[in-house]
Amino acid sequence: MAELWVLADKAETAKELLAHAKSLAGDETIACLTGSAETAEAAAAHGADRVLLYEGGSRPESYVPHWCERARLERPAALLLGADRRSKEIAARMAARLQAGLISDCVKLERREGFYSERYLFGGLCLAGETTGSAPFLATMAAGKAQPLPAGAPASVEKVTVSCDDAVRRIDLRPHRSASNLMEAKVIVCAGRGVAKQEDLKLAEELARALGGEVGCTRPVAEERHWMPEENYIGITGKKPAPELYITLGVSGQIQHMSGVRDSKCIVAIEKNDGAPITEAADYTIIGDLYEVVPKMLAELRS
Amino acid sequence: MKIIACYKWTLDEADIRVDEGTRAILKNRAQYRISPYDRNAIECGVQLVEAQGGEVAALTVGGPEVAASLKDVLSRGATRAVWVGQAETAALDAAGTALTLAAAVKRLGEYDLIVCGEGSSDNYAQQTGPRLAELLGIPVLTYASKIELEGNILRVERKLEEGIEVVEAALPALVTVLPDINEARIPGLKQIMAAGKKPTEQYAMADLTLTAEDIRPTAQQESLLGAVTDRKRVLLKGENAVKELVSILKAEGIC
Repeated sequence: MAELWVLADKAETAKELLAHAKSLAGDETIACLTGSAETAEAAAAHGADRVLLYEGGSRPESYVPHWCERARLERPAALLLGADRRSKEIAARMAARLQAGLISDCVKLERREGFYSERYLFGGLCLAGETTGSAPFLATMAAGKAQPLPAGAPASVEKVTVSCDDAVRRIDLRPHRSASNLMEAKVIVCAGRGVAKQEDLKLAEELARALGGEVGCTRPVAEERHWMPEENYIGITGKKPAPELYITLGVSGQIQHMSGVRDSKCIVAIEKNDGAPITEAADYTIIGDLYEVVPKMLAELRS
Repeated sequence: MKIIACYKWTLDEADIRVDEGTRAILKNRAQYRISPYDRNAIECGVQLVEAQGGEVAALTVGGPEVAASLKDVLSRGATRAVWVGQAETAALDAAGTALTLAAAVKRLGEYDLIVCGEGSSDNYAQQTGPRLAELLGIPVLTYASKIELEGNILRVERKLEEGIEVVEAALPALVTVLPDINEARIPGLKQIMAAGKKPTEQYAMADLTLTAEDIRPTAQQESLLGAVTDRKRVLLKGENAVKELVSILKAEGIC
């Protein structure tokens, strides 16, 4: 019987992908292939019918040739991966080896005649709906688009030991030191280019603290000015959080940024220019100088 | 050393409009430019060659509009530019692009390093680099924020969600770079003048023995619509703006 495959390194990703696979499965069963024992265990309990735990690789990427070899033999109908950077590399390499198409950053996936997928183009400006008829279908799925299935009776985990001839060697892996927790935050204050000096980020921090939230920034603030670590920038190419309240300070509202926060419940902008694109993309915009508005807001929140 | 820097000639999305009524995409006012991510790829190649000697061949594939990109890419420091002419750029997906680039790379001859941007500004599928490496059978190091060469060994810092991964591989290899790897130079008048004298070359798909069938996309586009932002768009001005906002947020139960 044909299978749908989920390929994941992280347990959270695997659980979401299994939920996607479940919603797509016709008469197929679902297999999870992973190089992580923790992920294997999570997948076995959350919807996989079969789990293959690979051993012998030095990095998740090590298994690309082995997974492709198995895909050629077992001919799964679809292969689903996460949209994190490692997974996107793995997916693209597998698609090239399998001479298959690959839909990146899918925000919606349905089974019609073939697989119907939706993804954003031009920095989030437009949404493309596409149908893929040929097999195998490959997609990387945007995070947060499926609810993990409840834990059930665990499926069996089969160990597969392989030897890997890695052309790329890992020398070191240094975890990020950023203490921020943007993805879980209920409130986010985002600093944009309208914040004039690095020390003025304190204003954003104070506002975030008053609201029990976290501070993020736009891509230029992280990558051009280097005022905040890269893992704090928000946008279609960075973090895509979905807070209850998203407050921008001096953010003009370019599409690449706003696309990253489209799932926010309420967007508030503090912006000098009443013609800025952010006014079209926010629920509420206070037209004013952030250096005057933020202290007023802090006072109002404390009263 | 011989470096190939790949780039894509893309529409500047800042000038693409969405029709409010039909949600149609209006591209008529948008101009083409080198995809911003690829400017960092070109810069990366040029800096390596400036330090080590050698040449950077800029390589692209696309329709007739791509002709205008050649002088641009040469003004950014590439030694020569090669363009694979294709009927229509938009008709290529990442698989077709990678297949075409792979064929062109083989025709270009020996190389040490291929540099690509992490993704393109239009599709941002982030597939072309890793696909190209697989088709050529060379190691790929993606999402590089720092790159070092020691003899034949390429060492790269990859910025991943979980942290910084330091990896190395022997040349020839392919690297995809993040925008923060460098600051791409802005060409001056001198560079623009000099660009006109640098060699350019055009390959036809037939030169690469590729047919339309080989590069046909696997997915059929069903729809392309402007993304809707369903927001309240309330402007608050004047003395009481902050008070008003805080009371609205409190009433909505979000602060």
